[in-house]
Amino acid sequence: MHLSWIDYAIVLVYVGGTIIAGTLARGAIKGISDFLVAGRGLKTHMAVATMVSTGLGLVTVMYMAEEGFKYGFVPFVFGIMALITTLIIGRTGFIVSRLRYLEVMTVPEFYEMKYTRGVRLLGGIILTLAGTLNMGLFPILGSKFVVGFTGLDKEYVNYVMVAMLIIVVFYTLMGGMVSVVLTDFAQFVLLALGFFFGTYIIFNHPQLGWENMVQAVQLHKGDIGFDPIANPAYGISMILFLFCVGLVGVVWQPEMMRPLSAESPKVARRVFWISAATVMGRAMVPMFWGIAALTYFGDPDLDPHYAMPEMLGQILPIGIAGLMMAGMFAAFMSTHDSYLLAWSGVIVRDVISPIKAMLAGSSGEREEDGTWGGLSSEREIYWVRAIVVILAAFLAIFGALYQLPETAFRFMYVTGSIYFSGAVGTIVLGLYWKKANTPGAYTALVLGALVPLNFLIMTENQESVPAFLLPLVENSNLVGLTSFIVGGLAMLIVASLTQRSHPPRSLDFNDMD
Amino acid sequence: MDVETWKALWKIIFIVASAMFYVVVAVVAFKGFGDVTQMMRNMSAGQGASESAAEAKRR
Repeated sequence: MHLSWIDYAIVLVYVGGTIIAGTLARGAIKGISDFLVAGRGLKTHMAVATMVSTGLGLVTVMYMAEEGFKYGFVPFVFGIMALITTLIIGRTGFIVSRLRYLEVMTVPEFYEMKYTRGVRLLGGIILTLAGTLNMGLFPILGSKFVVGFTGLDKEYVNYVMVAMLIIVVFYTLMGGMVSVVLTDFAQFVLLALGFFFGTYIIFNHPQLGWENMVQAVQLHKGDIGFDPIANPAYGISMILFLFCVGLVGVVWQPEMMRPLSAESPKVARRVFWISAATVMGRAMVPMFWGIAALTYFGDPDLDPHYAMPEMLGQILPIGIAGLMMAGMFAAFMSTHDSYLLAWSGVIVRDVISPIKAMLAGSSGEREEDGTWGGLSSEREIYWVRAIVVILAAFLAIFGALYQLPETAFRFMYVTGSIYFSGAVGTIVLGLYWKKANTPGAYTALVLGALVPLNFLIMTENQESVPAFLLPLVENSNLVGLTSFIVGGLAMLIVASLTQRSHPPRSLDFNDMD
Repeated sequence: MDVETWKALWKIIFIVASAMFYVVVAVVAFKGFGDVTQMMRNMSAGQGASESAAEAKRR
């Protein structure tokens, strides 16, 4: 074991405080909008804190570190693309301001406003599939960090995962988004402290420091450890893909819940403008730790999921190690609570509730309390809580059994593309192109999802893949880019051909600030 | 661009990225603390999140 009792005490105090705050938040839940979007009352700085916390989960730290360990300094390009795209969104309010103006709670809710209930149902199902698959590796990667950092035997990795999930599920069930926001704020500060001390100690460690790390990357990776254009795993296709994901990725429900919880469309946009300054650091600091682990152990064949936390566990002094552990626990919780809540919200509001409304034959009008004629507000909260528990159980089983096709980073991006690709046509064009209509939305959703889904299936069955499709199996960047293009083109072509038979619904944004 | 230029560039970018991150975290933590305490005060008074938001807008 690498840690002392002082370190464990710090972690316990933090976890205890989180549970108490989450329990207190139960009193603030009076309806579904309180539970899912905290009553749409978030002010700028709270919204920034909670958005940064969610975007910087332990899984993010793990897969960013893995990229640094495997590809050296090249993945830093991810941070640069994230900065550019977040600045564009912050300056223009691209997508976020308009969705906030429409007062939706989930992204597929927009589909019912712009298209039909059927599109909402299909969008909800695809988003649920993409979201749960994407989240499948979160708990196990978090657990690997804890096991590597503390020096526990690796056979405990599944038990640690289940214990951490139980804590998150408990406080998320209590206060929904209010719990998430409150705990995210503490997590935001702890995470930053963990980042600061971890990086400071790496910089000043005799075996590490910038120059030693540069030499290690040169030794193990060569020039392609520094040049993103020359590196075959990155290159122009990856850079373009990162740009597209950065812009369209904002429609990812856990990400979008913050602007949707903001007190106005203006605040929603400002949240991105301010948090843009953090996105490069959020990506590059964990990558830097990954490179440090490569330098420290000097063996590129090690499992990076264990190498980085093991290095931190060995070099951090007592007290700082506890702070780091609490910070990483915070990172684990801040992402899991938001994701569990986001996907459960989508399953209930965009799959279960529309089916009930269809069966009951109710009209497609939004009620005062934010429901759409399916489940009542109280029943929606009940079902969201139930789905949070079911999802957590699914994640525990998936994490224990699934084997990664490439790196965790690429798995996240390909599974995310199942939804993002359709979103180009349905949301981006739906918000900004007057001709976007229902047949175009159906086609964009289905075709956009098929390309990355095929990739996942083909990766599992490579021996039966035809030779001309092998590039798609070997290079996930191509899959991502292709699916974006397919999703966007599908809407443009089909909507243009069906304008007379399916006239588009218009949305009015003239009063928007 | 040659490799030595990339190495120098990554060092500068990393330092700038880290500095921006910590400055924003410090400012947001300082300014957001008041919002958090207000939210907890409203919760202790038994106010729902929507009611608190509506009251804040009225103010």
